[in-house]
Amino acid sequence: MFTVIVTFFLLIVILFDFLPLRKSLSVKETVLYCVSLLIGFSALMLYGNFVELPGITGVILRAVGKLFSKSS
Amino acid sequence: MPNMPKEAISASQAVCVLILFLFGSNALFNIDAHTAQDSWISLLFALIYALPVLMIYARLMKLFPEKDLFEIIKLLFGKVTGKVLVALMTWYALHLAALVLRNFSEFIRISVMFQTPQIVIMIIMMLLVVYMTKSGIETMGRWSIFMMPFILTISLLTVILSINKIDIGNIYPIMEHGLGTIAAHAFEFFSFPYAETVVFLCLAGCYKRKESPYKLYVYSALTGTAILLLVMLRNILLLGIPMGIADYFPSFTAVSILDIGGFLAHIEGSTATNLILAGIIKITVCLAAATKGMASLFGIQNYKNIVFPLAVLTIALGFVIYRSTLEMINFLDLYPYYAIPFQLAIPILVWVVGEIKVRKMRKKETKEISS
Repeated sequence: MFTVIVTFFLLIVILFDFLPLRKSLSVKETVLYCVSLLIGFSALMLYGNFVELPGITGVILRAVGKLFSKSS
Repeated sequence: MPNMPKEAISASQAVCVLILFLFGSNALFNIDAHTAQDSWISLLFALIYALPVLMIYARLMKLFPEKDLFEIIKLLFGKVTGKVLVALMTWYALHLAALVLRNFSEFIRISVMFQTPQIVIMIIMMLLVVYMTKSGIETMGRWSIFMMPFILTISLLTVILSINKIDIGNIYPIMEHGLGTIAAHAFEFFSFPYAETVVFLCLAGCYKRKESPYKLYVYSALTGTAILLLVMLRNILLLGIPMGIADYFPSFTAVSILDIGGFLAHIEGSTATNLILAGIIKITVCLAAATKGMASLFGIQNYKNIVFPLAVLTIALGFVIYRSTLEMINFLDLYPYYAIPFQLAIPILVWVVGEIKVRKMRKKETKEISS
């Protein structure tokens, strides 16, 4: 279900945003657009297929915890 | 490549944006578990802490009128250091957008739409945010000014309607936690939501030169605090402390128990709408700031072209960010420490360097005029 919704969303983004914008985008903008989209959708697809991605909050909590427990 | 036309936002629009930004996700959680019934005193302490910092943000806007934080950083620190600082602020704006999006999607999923997949809630919210960001900061300002009376009226109405249900005993004993604990935990309210307004500096280039940025920050901080205080007191007095702390979203629960003569009941939907509307403004400000930061990093003229892919990144980050609702609540305790570099260190550094450079420039100008 999750994967189907994400794929449908990807299609919406490409059809209603990327294609109409394509001609007005510079090379730099196109590269940034595609790379960001690719990272975002890859992360969503991996999440949807139960691949455990590193939780950012866990990393931040450990880093902040270490930093403040050392200094105190 | 043609330059983008300059966007402009009036003082009243900016005040409304900032008030809704402050109200945003803070009204969701509201009661601090450490200070319990003294949370409202903690909130007032936080306002006292926040005012000097907000004045620093305002000073930056005054020193560099019609320039956003990214332009100021690049101007003061040059290419390399400037890009590092811009990247840090962009990350913070993107992370904050993801945090708020996740908070609100959790709220909707837990409180109202139990069966709907969270991804659907996130996508629908994000489509609105993307539409608003792409429409420009002026549209966001006009939308805020239009929504403000509704949000204020609903908040005040729920406070008035709760008068016959409140138990004044819930607020006692006052100062049970001691001044030290209350003052220490006020730092949590300081960083969430007051100092989060640093993100607004990333859009400050749209603020009109003739309007005072000091008034902007003072008016919005005072009004925002007044609304948050009313909501907090309503929640404490209606729910009491054990329930207020145990509940993930006390504002929603507090309003759900209101019942006026049997004919006006279950008005929690209006509060949910209220919170979501304010939350959408907060996510829009964060996403617009992140997009502007990204555009500044990669030298892109029109930031609106890359709004959608960054919105997708925000949704992905929103999922990866926490593994559970419990982790989300735990993160709130450590959030103030994590946010220090973005809310305090970078703005203070930019302010100090900005003051020095502006003074040097003025001295140089006066020397040139006199010679």
